Amino acid sequence: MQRPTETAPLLDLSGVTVRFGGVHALTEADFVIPRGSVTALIGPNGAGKTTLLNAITGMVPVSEGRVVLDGCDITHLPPHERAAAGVVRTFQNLEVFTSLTVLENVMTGRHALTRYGIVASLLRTSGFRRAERLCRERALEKLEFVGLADERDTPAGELPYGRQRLLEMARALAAEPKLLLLDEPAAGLNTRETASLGQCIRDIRDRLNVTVGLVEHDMDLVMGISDQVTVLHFGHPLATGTPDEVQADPEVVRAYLGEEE
Amino acid sequence: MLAGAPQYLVSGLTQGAAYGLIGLGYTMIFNTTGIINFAQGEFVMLGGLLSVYYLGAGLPLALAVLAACLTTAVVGALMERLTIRPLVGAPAVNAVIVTIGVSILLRGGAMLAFGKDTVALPAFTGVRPLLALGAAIQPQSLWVLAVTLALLAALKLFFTVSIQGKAMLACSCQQKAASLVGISVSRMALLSFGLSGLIGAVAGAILAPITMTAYDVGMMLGLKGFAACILGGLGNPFGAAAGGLILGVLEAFGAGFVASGYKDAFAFVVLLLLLFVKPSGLFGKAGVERV
Amino acid sequence: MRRSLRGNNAVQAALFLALLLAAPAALPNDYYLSICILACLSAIIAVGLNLLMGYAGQVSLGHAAFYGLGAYTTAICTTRFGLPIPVGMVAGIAVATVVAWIVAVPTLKLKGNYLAMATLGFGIIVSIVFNETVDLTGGPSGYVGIPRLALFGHVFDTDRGYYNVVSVVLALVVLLSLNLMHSRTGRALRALHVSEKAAGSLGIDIAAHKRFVFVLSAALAGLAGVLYAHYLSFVAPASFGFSASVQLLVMVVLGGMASVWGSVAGAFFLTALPEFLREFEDIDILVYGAILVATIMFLPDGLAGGLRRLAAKCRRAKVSHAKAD
Repeated sequence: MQRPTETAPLLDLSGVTVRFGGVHALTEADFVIPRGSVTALIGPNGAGKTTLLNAITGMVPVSEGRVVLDGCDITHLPPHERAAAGVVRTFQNLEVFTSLTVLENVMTGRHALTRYGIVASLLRTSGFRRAERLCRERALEKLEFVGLADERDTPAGELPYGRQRLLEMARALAAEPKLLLLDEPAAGLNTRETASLGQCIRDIRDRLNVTVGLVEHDMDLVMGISDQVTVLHFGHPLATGTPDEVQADPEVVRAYLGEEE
Repeated sequence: MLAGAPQYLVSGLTQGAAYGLIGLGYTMIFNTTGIINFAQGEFVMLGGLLSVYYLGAGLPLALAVLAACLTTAVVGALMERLTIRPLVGAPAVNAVIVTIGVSILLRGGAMLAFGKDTVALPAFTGVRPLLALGAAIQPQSLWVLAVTLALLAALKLFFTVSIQGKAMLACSCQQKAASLVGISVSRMALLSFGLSGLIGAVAGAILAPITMTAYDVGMMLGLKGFAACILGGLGNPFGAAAGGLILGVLEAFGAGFVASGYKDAFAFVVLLLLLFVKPSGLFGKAGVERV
Repeated sequence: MRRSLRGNNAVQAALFLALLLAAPAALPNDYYLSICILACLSAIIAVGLNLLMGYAGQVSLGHAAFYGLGAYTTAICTTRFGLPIPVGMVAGIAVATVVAWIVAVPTLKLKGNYLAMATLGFGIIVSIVFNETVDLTGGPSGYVGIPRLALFGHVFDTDRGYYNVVSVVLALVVLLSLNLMHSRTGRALRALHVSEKAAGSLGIDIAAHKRFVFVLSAALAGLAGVLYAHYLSFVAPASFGFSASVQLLVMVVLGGMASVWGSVAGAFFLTALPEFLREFEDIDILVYGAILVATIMFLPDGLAGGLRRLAAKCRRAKVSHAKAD
C-alpha cells in the first residue's frame, strides 16, 4: 500500500466491471476523483452511473477491477465497513429514516464514530453519557451547516421534500467521510433550492474539506460547481475533464449533449 | 419395507394433489397482489366443514360440495374487500398480520358454528378399494387426482382464453402497467381471493372423506400447502401442483419409514431447508436484483 | 439537556415497580395473584418480541418455542439431572439463546413473508419435538415435579413471594430495554427497520444487529420460561405452540410496535382478558382474531401509538390556542 501523496486521487477505480446476470452494467470502467474536488458523473439514463456509485459503496459486487479509496483497496469490503473506510452516500430515492426525528437521523449518521458497548448503554455509565452528548453536539453542528437546526425534533417523515434532501446530506456528513457521494441531489428541487444546494456543495468542499462526487442530470448545477466532469456511456467512461473541456468534446456532444434545449 | 412402497406412493400422491391445490391458492393471490394469505388453510377447512353442514341440511352430496365451495369463494372475496383492500399502501408486515388475524377469526367462527368434533364426509362414489400394482386404491383417491387435474386444466383455460384470466396474468407480471391499460387491479384482487377460496374449498371437500375434517385442520394444511408452493417456486402455478405431489410423496414415505409422530414435522423441515437454501424452489427463477 | 421525569428511564421503571408491588393490595384474593404472575411473564416475552418486531421490524411467529425451550431445559436439568435451580435456570436461558443464534443465521437473511413462514415453521417443529420426545419431555401430557424457585436457601413457595420476584425481573427488563433503545443500538435498529440500505451505508452492520436483537428477544423468552417452570412446577407442550406464539403477537401489536410500555400493557390486557371472557365459552380464539384484525386495520400503531398521536394533537391544540391569544 503506497503512502498517498498530495496529488494522488482520493478515489481510484480501475478496470471495474459489474455484471447483472448477462447484462454488463459497467465495463472496464476507470474513474478517478481528485482529492478536494467536486467531481460530477453524468450520462444518459442506463449509462451505469448509479451502478458505479453502488460499486464504490459496496452495494453491488464487482466482477473485475479494483476500487481504491485513499490508498486502501476497498473493492470487496462489505457495505457497512465502507463508512469507516471514509465513503458515505446519499440516495436517489430518499432514504431518510422517517420514523426518527431529524436529530436522531443525523445522530445515526455518527453510529460508527460513537463508541460505547452494549453494557455501557444498559448501565448508563458516564462514558455512555459523554459519548451521547458529543454525538448530539456534532449532529447539531451538521444540522446547522445545512440549515435544519430548528427542525431537530420534527419526525423526519414530516419534513417537506427539499428539506429531507438536506437532512440526508447532513446525516451523511455526520459520519465525517473523506468522500461524500451524492446520487442525484437536485432531483425534485426547484431553481432556488438547486442554487442553494450548489452553494452547500461548495461549502462542503471548502469549509468541511470533504471531497464530493455527484451523479446528476441538472447540467446547470453540474457545470456550475464541478471541478471535474466524467461522462459515462453504456457502462464505460467516454470523456473526463473540466466542464468546459467536456462540453466542447465532440464525442460527448454527439452521444449525450446533442439535443439542444 | 419396499412392499409398502406402492401404498405409500398412492396415499402420497393423493395427499400431495390436495397440497398442490392449496399451494395453487397461495400462488393465485400472491401473483395478483403480492400477499401471502395466511388464511388459505382456513378456506380448505371451510370446504370440508361446510360440505358436511350442507349435507346435513338435506342437500345431496354433489350440491352440498358445490354450495360449500361457492360459500367459501364468497368468504374469500369478503376477506379481500373488508380487510385487505383497506390496507393498500400500508407496510407489508400489516398484511401478514391481518391475514393471520382473519385465519384465527375463521377458525374461531368455525369452532363456534360447527363445534370441535372431527367429522367425516362420505366418499363421493363409495369405499370399495381397487387393487392395482400392489396397492389398495380408494375411489376417493382417484376423485382427488381427477378433480385436481380437471381444476388445473380449467384454470389453464381460464388464463389463456378468458379476458378476466388474461387480466389477472397481466396483474401478476406488471401491476402498474396493467392498471394503466384499464385493468382494475382491485377487481382482479377480489377475483383472486374469491378463486383461491374456491380452490381451497375444493381441496378441503375432496380430501375430507379420506382424512376427516375439523375446525382446526386449517393451519397444518395451509402451511403444508405453502411448503408445496415454495417447493415448486412461488408464483408458478404448475410448480405449486408439482411441489405438492413431491411433498405428499416425501411425507408418505417419511412417515412409513420413520416414526409417524414426526410426519407433520417433515413438511416444515422441507420448508425451512427450501427457504434457507433455495427460496426460488425447483421451478422458480432465481432473481437477480437490481439495486 | 432536559432531565425531565418523563425522559428518565430509571425513574419510570422504579415507579412501575412500586405500582406492581402495591397492586396486590387491590386484589380480592390470591387467585388473581397467579394471573398477575403470568401477566408479568408474558410481559417479559412481549417486551423482547417487540424489540425484534416493533423496533427492528422483523417478524417472529414462533417465539413461544423459546419460552418452551427455557422451561423444558430447566425442568429437565433440575429434576432428571438433579442440578441446582440456579444452574437449571442459566441452562434454560442459555439453550434458548444458543438455539436462537443457530436459527438466526439463515433465517434473518429472509424478509417479510418468507421470514414469517420460516419462524412459523421453526416454532411448529419445536412444538412437535416437545410432543414427540416423550422420554425426555414427558410428551403431550407434560412434565411434572419441577421444584419451586429457591435462591440462596429461600424457597419462594408463596404466590406473593413469587410475584415479588417476577415484578422485580419485569421492571429490570423494562429498564434495560428502555436504556438500550435510547442509545445508538436503538437508533440503529429503528434505522434498519426503515431502510437497510441507508443504515448499512452509515456503518451499521445490518446482519449483526438483526441477529443480536433476535437472540436477545429469545433470551428474554427463555428467562420467562425458566420462571414459568419453577412457578407452575409443571409444563406441557400445549403452552408453547402456535396459539401461544399468536397470543404474543397480538400482545405486541395491540400494545403498539416500538413501545416498551405498550408491550407491557398489551401483555397485561391479554392475560386478563380470558378472565372476563370466562362466561362466554370458547370465544377467546374469536376475540384474539378480532382484536388482531381490528387493531392492525384501525389502530396500526397500537394503543401506545394511539396515545402518542392523541398527546401530539393536544400539544398542537395547546400551541395554537396560545398563538391565538
